[in-house]
Amino acid sequence: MLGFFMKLSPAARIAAVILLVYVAVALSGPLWAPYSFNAVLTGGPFEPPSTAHLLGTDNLGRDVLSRVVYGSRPVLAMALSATGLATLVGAALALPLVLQGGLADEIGMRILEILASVPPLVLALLLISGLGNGNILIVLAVAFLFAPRIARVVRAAAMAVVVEDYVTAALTRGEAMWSIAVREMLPNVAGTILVEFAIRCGFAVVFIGALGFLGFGAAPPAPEWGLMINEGRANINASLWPVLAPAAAMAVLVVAINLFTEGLARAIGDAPGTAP
Amino acid sequence: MRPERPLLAVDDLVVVYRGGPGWLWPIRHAPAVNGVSFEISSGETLALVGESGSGKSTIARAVEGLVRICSGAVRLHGENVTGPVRGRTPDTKRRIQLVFQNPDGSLNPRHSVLTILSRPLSIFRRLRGAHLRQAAIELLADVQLDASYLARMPAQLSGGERQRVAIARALAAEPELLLCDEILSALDVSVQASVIALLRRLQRERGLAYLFISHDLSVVRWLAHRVAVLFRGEICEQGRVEDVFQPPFHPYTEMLLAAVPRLDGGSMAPPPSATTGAGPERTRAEGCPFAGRCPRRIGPICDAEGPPFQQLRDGHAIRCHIPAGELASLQTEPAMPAAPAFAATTSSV
Repeated sequence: MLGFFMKLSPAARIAAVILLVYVAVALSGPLWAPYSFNAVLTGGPFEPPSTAHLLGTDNLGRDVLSRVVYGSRPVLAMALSATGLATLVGAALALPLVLQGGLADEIGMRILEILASVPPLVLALLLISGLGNGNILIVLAVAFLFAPRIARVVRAAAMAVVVEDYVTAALTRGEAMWSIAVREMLPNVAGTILVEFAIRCGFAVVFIGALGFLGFGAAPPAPEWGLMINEGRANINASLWPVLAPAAAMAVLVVAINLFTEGLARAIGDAPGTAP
Repeated sequence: MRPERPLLAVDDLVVVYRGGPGWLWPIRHAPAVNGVSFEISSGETLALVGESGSGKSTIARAVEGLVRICSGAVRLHGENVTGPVRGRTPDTKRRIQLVFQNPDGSLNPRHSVLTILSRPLSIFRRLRGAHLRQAAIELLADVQLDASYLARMPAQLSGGERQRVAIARALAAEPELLLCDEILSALDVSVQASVIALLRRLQRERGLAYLFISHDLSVVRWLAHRVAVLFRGEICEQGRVEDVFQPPFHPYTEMLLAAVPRLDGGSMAPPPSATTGAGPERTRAEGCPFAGRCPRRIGPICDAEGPPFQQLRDGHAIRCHIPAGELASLQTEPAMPAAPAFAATTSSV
């Protein structure tokens, strides 16, 4: 683990530390956050930063820092679970299709491309307004949007693997399809899948934030970053902090994910076990 | 003289690759393999020789069931096994094993040697746990590697070691026929020598049969019992190795032998107006496939009629319009390729 960390570029190491801080804050936040995310009139409305309220207060006198800290929990949980689900589904679709080849592969991939070509926000809003609201539904909707895109990337990597002789050798000894996909192909596309997962996590954070901003998903008074930005927007002349704090939290998180992903992709490129 | 039922019988095999932009409008190409027949008995080595693109690998892949066979039959112990490998019984899959040309691609870079060997051991011999490990160690011993190699990854092996592991993986199935698709071409000469010695020892000890595909005629002469010479997917000469490499030759065999460089600077007298490199496919579809490049072309008959197989002694057959006696008188120079440099070491193993 530490050896892997040392292989990352300096920027990626800093990004990894930032990501660890985010996870630590999300896990331990309720233990040390100065106020509850929902406690009103902990001070006056629109107070500027002070020792009592490090990031000021919002229109209801709620502590902005506490709300941002609590807000890291849903965004991390939803982004990770949506991306994880999408990666699982995408890989599980792509590997058997590539292995099967021929007509099944052609038809399957054309369907996935059609799904991937619909603008994601439009499709997400359609799904959510058609099926109802709620965090689980948003996770499912984001996973549904990302899965075809991930499947295409996994497929591209798997195409290079499926022609290798070790896959042919597995075919000639009569291995089952799932066994070839999991035993022979998956380890050789795992790096690509991991990098794709990391990239999509960054997208998911922004996407879920955008849905919250538009009023989908979390409902007031939930401390969701996108929702907080929207609420603070109306009173931006009174105080900048209720908008700035969640926006900055989201921006730093996404930048850290992207920098870490870039370092990850490079480190995997010369991972042990690959032929020179 | 040959047993009634050979181990492998390939009968009038035709393979046509479908190519083109997609599955919807496949374009038919000229056959990669056209009407090829041969037999291999237990404990025998048949070499397939011919230039690149002559269909050698395609024949091996057809026998293994990896390419679609258009017509013809592949029989194992008289039983028809022509279909794709997925439709074959586990026992048929076990009996025929393929060793690939490039050992870098035939071993999964993410699997240890133990994992690589354990798959066929558990599938074909149902071994588990300590028995499996023991069998894997024995396989490594068969290819002269010790037990410390079990934990290694392919990237930690040299090219020769990788090819030995690939052979060990094929042996794990306890096959009767090993299809060796240019398995020496990625190896340097000293490693080639040790792999050849290994193949000969395994044949002696277990009665393994080989379909040995190569373009190295000196290795073929050293290893094979019989040779089939392929040109553009058709066999033009077939017979015992000592007969094929002695006059009379098929004109194409003669050209192949003349192309072998000699260390002493001399070479076999080239046939008149020998042309190497790609020539026309054939002058006419019904004619001799070699007519367009043949240095000993005799006339319009070469374009008009497919030449007959002239049966000579001990199964030696030459497919040419020129009578064998006449060919022999034209081709006086002995052309046996020199024994490979490592022959002395090989024979003592």
